[in-house]
Amino acid sequence: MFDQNKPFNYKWSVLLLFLTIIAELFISQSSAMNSKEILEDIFDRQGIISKGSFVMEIKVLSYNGTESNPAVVRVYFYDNSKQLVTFVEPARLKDSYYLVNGFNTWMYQQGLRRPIRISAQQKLFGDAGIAETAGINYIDDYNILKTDESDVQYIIDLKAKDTRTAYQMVTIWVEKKNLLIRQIDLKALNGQILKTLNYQKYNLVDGHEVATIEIINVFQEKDKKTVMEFTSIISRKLPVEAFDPLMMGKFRF
Amino acid sequence: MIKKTFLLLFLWLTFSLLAKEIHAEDMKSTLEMSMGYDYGHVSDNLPLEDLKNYNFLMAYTTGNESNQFFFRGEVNGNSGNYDTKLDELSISRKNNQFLYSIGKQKWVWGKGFSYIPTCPLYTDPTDKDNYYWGLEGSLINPKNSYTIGAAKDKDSDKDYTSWFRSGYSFETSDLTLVTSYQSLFESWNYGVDYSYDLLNGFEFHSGINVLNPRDSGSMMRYLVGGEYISKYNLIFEVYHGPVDREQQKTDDLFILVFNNSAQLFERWQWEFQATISLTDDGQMRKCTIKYLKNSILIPELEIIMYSGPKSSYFKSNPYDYTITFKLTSKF
Repeated sequence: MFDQNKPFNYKWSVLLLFLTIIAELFISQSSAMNSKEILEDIFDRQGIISKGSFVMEIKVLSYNGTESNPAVVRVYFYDNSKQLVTFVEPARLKDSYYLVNGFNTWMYQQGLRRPIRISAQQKLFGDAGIAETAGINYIDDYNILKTDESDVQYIIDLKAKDTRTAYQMVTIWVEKKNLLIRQIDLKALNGQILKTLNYQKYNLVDGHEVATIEIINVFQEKDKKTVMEFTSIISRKLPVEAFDPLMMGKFRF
Repeated sequence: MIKKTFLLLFLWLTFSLLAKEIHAEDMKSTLEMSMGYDYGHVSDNLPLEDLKNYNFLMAYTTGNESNQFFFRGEVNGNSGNYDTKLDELSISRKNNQFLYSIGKQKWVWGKGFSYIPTCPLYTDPTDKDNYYWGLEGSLINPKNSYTIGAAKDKDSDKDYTSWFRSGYSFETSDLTLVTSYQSLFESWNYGVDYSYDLLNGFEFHSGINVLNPRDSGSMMRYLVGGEYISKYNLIFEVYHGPVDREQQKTDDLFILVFNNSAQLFERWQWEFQATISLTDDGQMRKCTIKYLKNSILIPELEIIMYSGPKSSYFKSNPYDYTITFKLTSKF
């Protein structure tokens, strides 16, 4: 008996196999990316780090137990290395400025009439230090130590390149299906978790894919938390000399 | 008359510049107003009346990316005897790397919390009248800056102070070299300011200045201190040098400050400061407390106590203690 189906089955089997391989490759495209590419993809979509100068406005709610304190900060972000943090609200902090210039941190208050050096450990809100508010550069300031993965997420461990960086170790949880950061643990050199950053409610702000970030100081004050929501991110050419301590309090952006 | 003419001329110049250079839509402004009451209790053995003073203060700042105008004035007095005072009236302008300021203001720099060795116009931190007419210009580069300035002495028409500062920024520290000249003492002064962040919550700062008054020998003033930030701020400093504006009284002081200013959103903000003379055992203790829950109206209470032997510098102040209550609004 002539088996008419045999060549047909063979051809279709090869085609199916080929399609399956293509589909597998397509579906698991992200898993084929290495950890560095995953992070680069995430921060590329965010479009801030290594993308020039920006003026960002952030709505902040600082919780202390049941009490909450609202604030609006404006961060002038210059080429990753320099950030100037100013307050839009509350009014009493309008003439306060915090400048981060590499590893140097300065504060200006109108009553002082001069910039004074402060420790980079200075907190702006209950749990958010200057580093978290001004932005941490996970791409350029950290090396990838290792990557683990579960069915749904990647767990990427980072170590600071410089011993002077505020948080020496970082663990980032990335959702596999859409490559979105869900959680970041900021740690000390010994691995002790200092702060946990929960990433929620991703949306596009002026073309930048950013999340609302909840910051919990798990090391010191667990009953406090700070929630930061980006409300605008505008690309803008900023003059480098504006990020000098002498300029603080002498003009307004 | 000359002062008033100069003031009017300056106001006209300032507002002309502002009107020409600043477009209304670029302006960002803040207005601060405060009302206060000062009470000073005179030491029992002095034939003086206690201080009872009301004051009203207004500060207005407006500016844009290149210019800033600042005004601060106050009215002080009691029972029909009031004095109006212009504390500050200044304009600063940024032009690429150049920054210059002109007007009446506090010309202050340096690292100290209260005493600043290299700053000749800021000798006595208890002097609430540290405002001088003057001008200053800076050239700012990414790693260094150069500043030249001069200010008129507040008590004399002919005396002035001039200064030249060069600042250098390093990875976690900075250095400033200061040369100044005070015509009042015919003194050339040479100083250095330095600060360093250990990046573990501890900041170190210091300053040293050698003064060379014509009528007396060289003298030195210096300050060494640090600040530790965790949940609270702790500042500790040792200062050696003149403590009065006339540079007649030299002292060694230990300054300790403890506050919760690191927590910007605490409902209560407080600060304790103790300044202890190691030379004559005099002490000044200051306690300040603010209630910040309502950001429109901020009440503040400050108590300063002076103690020690009668011959001590702090007890040369006629008051045992002063109490200041203030209500501040900022828009």
